[in-house]
Amino acid sequence: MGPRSRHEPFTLWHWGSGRACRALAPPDYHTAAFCRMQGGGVNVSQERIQRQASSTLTRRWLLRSIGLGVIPAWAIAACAGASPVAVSPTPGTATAGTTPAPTRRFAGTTLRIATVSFVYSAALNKLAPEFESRTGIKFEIEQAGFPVTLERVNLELSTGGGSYDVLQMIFAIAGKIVGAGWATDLMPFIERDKAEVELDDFPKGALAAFRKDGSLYALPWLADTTMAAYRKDLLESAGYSTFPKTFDELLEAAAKTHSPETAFFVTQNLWNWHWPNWLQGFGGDFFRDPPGDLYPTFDTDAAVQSADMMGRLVREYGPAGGANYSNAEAIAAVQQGRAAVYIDGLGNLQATLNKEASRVADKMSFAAAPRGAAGWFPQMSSHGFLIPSGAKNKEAAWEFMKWSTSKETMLKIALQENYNAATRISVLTNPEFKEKYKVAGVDVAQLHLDVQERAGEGYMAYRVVPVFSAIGSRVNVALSEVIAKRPAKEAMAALQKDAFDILEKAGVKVQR
Amino acid sequence: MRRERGQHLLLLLPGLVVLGLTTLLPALFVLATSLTPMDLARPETFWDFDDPGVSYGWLLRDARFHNSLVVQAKLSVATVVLQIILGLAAALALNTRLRMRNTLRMIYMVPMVIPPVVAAIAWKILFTPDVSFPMWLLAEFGLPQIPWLVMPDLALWAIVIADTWQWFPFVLLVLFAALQVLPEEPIEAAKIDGAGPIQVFWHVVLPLLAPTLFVVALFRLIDSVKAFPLIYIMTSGGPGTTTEVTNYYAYQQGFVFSYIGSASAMTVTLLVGVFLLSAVAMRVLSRSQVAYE
Repeated sequence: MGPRSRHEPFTLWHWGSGRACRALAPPDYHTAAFCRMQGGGVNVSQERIQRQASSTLTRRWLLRSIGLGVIPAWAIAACAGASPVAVSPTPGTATAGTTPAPTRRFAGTTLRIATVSFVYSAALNKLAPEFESRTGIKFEIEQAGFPVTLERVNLELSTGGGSYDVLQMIFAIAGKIVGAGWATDLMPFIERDKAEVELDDFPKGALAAFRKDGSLYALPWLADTTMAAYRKDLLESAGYSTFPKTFDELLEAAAKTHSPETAFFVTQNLWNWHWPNWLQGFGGDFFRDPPGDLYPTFDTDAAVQSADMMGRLVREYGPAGGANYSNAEAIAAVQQGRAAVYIDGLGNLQATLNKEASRVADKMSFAAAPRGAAGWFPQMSSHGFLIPSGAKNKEAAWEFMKWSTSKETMLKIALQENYNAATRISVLTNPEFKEKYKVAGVDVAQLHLDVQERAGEGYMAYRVVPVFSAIGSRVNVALSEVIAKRPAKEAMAALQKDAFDILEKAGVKVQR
Repeated sequence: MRRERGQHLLLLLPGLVVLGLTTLLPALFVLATSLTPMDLARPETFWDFDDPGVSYGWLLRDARFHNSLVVQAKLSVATVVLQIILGLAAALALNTRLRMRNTLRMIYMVPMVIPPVVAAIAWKILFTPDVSFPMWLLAEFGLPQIPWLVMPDLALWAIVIADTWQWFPFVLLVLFAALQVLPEEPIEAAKIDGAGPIQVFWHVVLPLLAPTLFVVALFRLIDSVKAFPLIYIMTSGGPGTTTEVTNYYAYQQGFVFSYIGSASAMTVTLLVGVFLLSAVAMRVLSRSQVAYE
């Protein structure tokens, strides 16, 4: 250790904890800079700093610097692991009905969040400074494509990892996540912050997939409600002033409108998401009475007919190679004028209105998906934020979730960005929102809300059973075979047989 | 001497420890989990060794797994044969006094150095009629645009073509190096005896190259079992399961359905299969080596 000088002794302290850590060595320029980075105050004379800065690098200096870096960092990490100022209240122990003001209790926390690459997540990243100034909490949402995020979420949650504080609740595996207890129950937080959360402002359908036995495991920020985005001009020239309302009308319009230059129909190759629109319209379902009775029902007439119809639409009225299209490719086909109708979730369809990317944005219109003889069963998926069971910063994560799914934030993003797949009734009924998202006079916001309300009536129950992802994968195989001209009856019979094996493997007891 | 050997071992130890941790330990973990019905969504199945054969039993009953083995076999045979033929042809062509030999060799290496995912995306675009320039050219000449990736009979061939394009340069490199060190005397002797180019190649060059051909074919065969990026990007195992190889199916089982027990059992089965194949191949090689005096 070097000699102390006549200058005041050098000390550095950890900001916020009230503790003073005495430096192990005389200060130098490098140490001072390090201390400033950690938020500590530094009391160092200029002369000493200049003297040190001009000194040559010695082995002793290097070792001291490393020691100074490691020990305070460890101390800081140990302090940061605990609550910075005071012990945060345990959910459920605070007075019911109290609404904490935007709190800075978790200032200094950095949240790690991952979602699918989407306009909402990108918009939240832009608003991160605003959130940080209110709460002192930093975040940056990592975004990736759907298959990558699906795997990341699956892996992180299934291993009980604590790397992420907030993850996307992906609808396709919501049943598995909820069933396996991989997400934190939000009800205690919601009960405590009732007035802030306003749970009733979320449509029933948007929350349905995240509920189990009175608990709620995610708050939604994206509802993908199935509807049709279509070329108004092409259908009008074929004699259709409105979009076909029934399956039969749709097939008729397909035959009249399809051409080699512009295919009639396109969708992404996620058949287990798309096919139920037709399956339930024909009166069929995945299971006899989900979630209680999971006896598979893939060999019914409804299943065969709907599979056959969907196969024909994709094969005969789709672009060449369209059976292999991802969402991005389907969107590109519409934007480039190579396909006239895209039936899928609104979250995907809104890209067809992107004037910068699309040649035909001003010719597009939206309509409800057609109905079958058994009724109208538009599919819906909702995606939200969840707090992993193993997350380390649950309270701070909850602050983020409340803010990011609040009606104020959602409305702001919807008005500033191209985001209309909102999940708040107050946002969807807001006059400014409705006006902004009208397409060719069609009130898309109302269509979106109608589907969310309809989907809350229970027909989506097949989708949130824990075994859905394995069954859904097998359904994908079966439907791609039908599109490739395997007879639907044969493909569905094979699917039915395999479904029993999949259920058995997943520990679900079903009498064959 | 003994002291030297001890010192060698000591110096090798850190590397061996790292190798053990990064390869042996995960392999043992996979073997252990293959003896359980581990499902990450059901904690009661973790480390349940009550029925160690349960996951293997599923494999025996799983028609989709059997199909994946057949698809894997087709893919492996087709890609290895094509890569050997193309690689050998290119190596022979380069093994002449071409002025641009070095430049051509560099150009041939390009497919091999492209990341597999990038190659997969490129080939997906090439095989999709709506966005493919070659397909557009075909249409301009009135020829049909065939959507390879959605046709059950052609999708696997699309994967074979993409895989062959990417990896035949590896075969080329190895065979070219072998051709460079082939002894000149037997070749000259054959020429003096009146053998034509094809006879020289068939009766002299090929037998001398046989051990190298065998080894490179084995390398490519083992590598073909790891085929994943092309299938993941180009076809996702479809249409149906026509391009779903065992590796891809194991990935689905483990990472999409969280059936770790099943995925591990498939992986162990693949591993054993590859080991056996390699052992048989090496035995055949050692018996049929050409001795040159």
